[in-house]
Amino acid sequence: MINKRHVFPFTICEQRTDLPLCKLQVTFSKGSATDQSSIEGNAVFTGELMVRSIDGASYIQIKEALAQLGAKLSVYTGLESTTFELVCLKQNLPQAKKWLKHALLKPSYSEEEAQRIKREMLEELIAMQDDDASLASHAFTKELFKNHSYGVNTRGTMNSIGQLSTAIAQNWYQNHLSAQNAIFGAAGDISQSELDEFANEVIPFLPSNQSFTQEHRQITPQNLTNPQLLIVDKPERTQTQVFIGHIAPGFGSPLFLPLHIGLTAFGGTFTSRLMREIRSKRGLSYGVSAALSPHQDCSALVMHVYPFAEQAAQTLELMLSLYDDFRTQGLQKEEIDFAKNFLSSSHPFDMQTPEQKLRYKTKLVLLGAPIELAEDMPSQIEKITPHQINEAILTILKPCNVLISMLCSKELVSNQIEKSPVLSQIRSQIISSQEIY
Amino acid sequence: MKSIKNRSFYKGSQVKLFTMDNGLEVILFRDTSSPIIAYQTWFKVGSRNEQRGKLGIAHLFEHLMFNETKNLPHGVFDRTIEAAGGRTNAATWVDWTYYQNDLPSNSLELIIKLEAERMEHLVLQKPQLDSEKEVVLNERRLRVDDDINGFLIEQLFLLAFEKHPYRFPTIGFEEDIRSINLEDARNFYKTYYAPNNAHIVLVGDFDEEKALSLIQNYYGHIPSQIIPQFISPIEPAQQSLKQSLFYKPTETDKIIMGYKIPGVLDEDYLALDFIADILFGGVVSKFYREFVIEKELLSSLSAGVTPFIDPGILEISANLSQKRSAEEFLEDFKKSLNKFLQTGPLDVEIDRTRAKFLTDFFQGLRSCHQKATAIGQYHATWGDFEELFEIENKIQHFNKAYLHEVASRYLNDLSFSVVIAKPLEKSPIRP
Repeated sequence: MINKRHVFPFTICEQRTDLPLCKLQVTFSKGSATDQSSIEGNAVFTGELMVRSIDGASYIQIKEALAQLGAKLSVYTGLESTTFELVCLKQNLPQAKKWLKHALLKPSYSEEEAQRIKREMLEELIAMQDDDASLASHAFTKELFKNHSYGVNTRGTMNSIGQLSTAIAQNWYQNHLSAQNAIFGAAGDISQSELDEFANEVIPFLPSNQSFTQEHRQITPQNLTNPQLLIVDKPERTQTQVFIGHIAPGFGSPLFLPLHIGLTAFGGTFTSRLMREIRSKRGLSYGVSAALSPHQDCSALVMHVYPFAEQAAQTLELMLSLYDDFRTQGLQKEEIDFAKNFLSSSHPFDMQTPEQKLRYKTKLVLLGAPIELAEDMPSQIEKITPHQINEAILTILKPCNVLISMLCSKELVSNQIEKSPVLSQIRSQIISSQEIY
Repeated sequence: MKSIKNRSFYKGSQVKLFTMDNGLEVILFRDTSSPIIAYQTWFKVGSRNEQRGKLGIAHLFEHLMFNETKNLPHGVFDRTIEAAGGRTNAATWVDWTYYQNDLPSNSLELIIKLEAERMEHLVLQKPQLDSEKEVVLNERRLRVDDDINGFLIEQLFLLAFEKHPYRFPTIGFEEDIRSINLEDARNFYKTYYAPNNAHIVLVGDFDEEKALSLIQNYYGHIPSQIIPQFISPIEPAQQSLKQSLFYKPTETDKIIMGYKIPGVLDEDYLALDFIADILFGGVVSKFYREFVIEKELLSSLSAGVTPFIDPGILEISANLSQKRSAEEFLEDFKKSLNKFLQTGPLDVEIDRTRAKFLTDFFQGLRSCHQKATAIGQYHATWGDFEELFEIENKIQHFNKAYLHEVASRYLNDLSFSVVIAKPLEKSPIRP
């Protein structure tokens, strides 16, 4: 299906004039996965510094100028991408877009702003202690991708943030942002020619990194060889946040789409098997899900559930049992047909607004997939057979690979785990929620 | 079906209101940019209509609406919508409950039929009630008991209000939720789920004549009911500042504050929304700049006005930076606020906020779902969806003198409530 070598720089324009809104963005195919362990958070730090220190203007000056235009300039840094985005009304686009252009071409790397961002990043890590789901999810991801760049602390750690500097930021800019990995995107009341004009103003002046390639990394993250339970201890939790999963094939693998369909049937809709068994029949959790989270090299197969603390072990046992049934017995034809139909018929929702189309297509390009998939995905789904789906499930799902991350108050849950014949057999470790960052 | 009014929107698009003999209102907005529809039903009942001892019933009932009907076994409603490629959900708040569906446009008749079915023929059984009670209790733990911000908001409303039911959380309390029985649920359904207590909002790619005909066909026979009038209790005037303090497992001090403000129909409401943005709305706002950027006393600051029918709150939420205290911030904030109240907003602040409101307005109407939700909420709360489209015009007339006067009238200690949470380690009773 994929592994297309796209030609960069790439442009995507989704013009629609029903509202006077414009989005102009530039996405680079590098993000936090480039952070070395001693300077985790660097990609995020650099992106922020670029939009907050432009051509000698201070953060407040930039914000004031944009606010007068009702415009917003933001940066979003993921594991494998960094997007600089401008949103404004059509009438203000000529004035507003120069800020995006100068953020990309004339970042000032103000020392004062750099220090402020670092302090904010530290405060943010502290504030993240209040978000149980994020803590559990991050603990899961970090452990799942141990020794691989996908396990990076994207927002940094209490130690690494102190190491960040304007020099390191400049270095990151020079080495990771270039015309050879840039996707120029526009959505809303903005034409292809306007986008091309903007791109032509920017491209010649981006760092020219001739050695830059689009090759995917050869190293693939490794799964566990025995199941593992990671308990993240936090006081006074009446509820637990549980993430369960393992590494799965990437978007480019022929197994990806069959597995995605299978997981949709298993835990991807409100009437999926997991929802029926966990929520509807037993009321064990407000929500439960299973899905693939794709990266360039692989995907993470992740199941998420959040039961009462006193029902944590019972729910976890049931989740593992359902996973096992799914793995060994696969899906019924009715379930497969339902999932395929749901994914095909609901595809228009992923592509409804010009901004959604832009996001979807940008993601395809980042994953090395043909951009035609944006329209073609329903027919690709239709082609997948029940045999392929059940084979993918049987091939990829393995109980020995399973990692479980559970945020809870250990004094409420440890006893339940010890008494469980299933869970007591799983190798476990306990860390404090405060150790995560 | 009677046509009541048309409202023009951007580039000739139209929003149209119709009403049926049984009182059901229908609002249509054609948007043919994608082959989808957003179909929502808004009921004018929320947690303010609840009685003590049964708090949370409006929200619990919302969960029950997804169960069986006379013609649909349990689970079939959701499954049928998903089988069509659609998504369905709902939400309850103080003044309304709404049911949302987003589907491919060729499913119009399907969703009209399903929604009419559950408005008229919902079947309530004990096993489903018991199961949904557990789900709701789980939801309460997720959103309140284990969530510091949810907890603080709940405490703010309990503190700020004495008589009005807005003081109680929409999700209810555990004791009340557990006490709700089948008879309570059936009575609630019979009382409030009537066509004359609802409006439908349909946005997307559809044929208007066909849509109206289908709605008439499926809903026309459903009888209207007498809806009990909600008598708003008179909230006694606040005599002084109110404050409460909690110790919770969190790393830094947190503070949630509120000023009493009028309901949405008051002419000052939009001005207060505007003022909240001038003072707290992002990096260039007065207090964000002072307390987050310049003094770094706070790590975050945000505010908003409650969109309630009856008087509500201008809610302000802040996280303190490490080693800074809520008390320190409160003292500083009051000084800065007094300074603002002496001078009022600057012209540049007013212009900036006007520009932001305009961009936010259009961003909030991008998808069919967003359009339907905005229109539906305005019709439920303001009583007329047209108020949504009046915002742009109204804010053009805001001037320094008016905004200054409104701020002075409402932002004072006599309408002020504060809830503070401090880390457990600081608790005086902790060993």
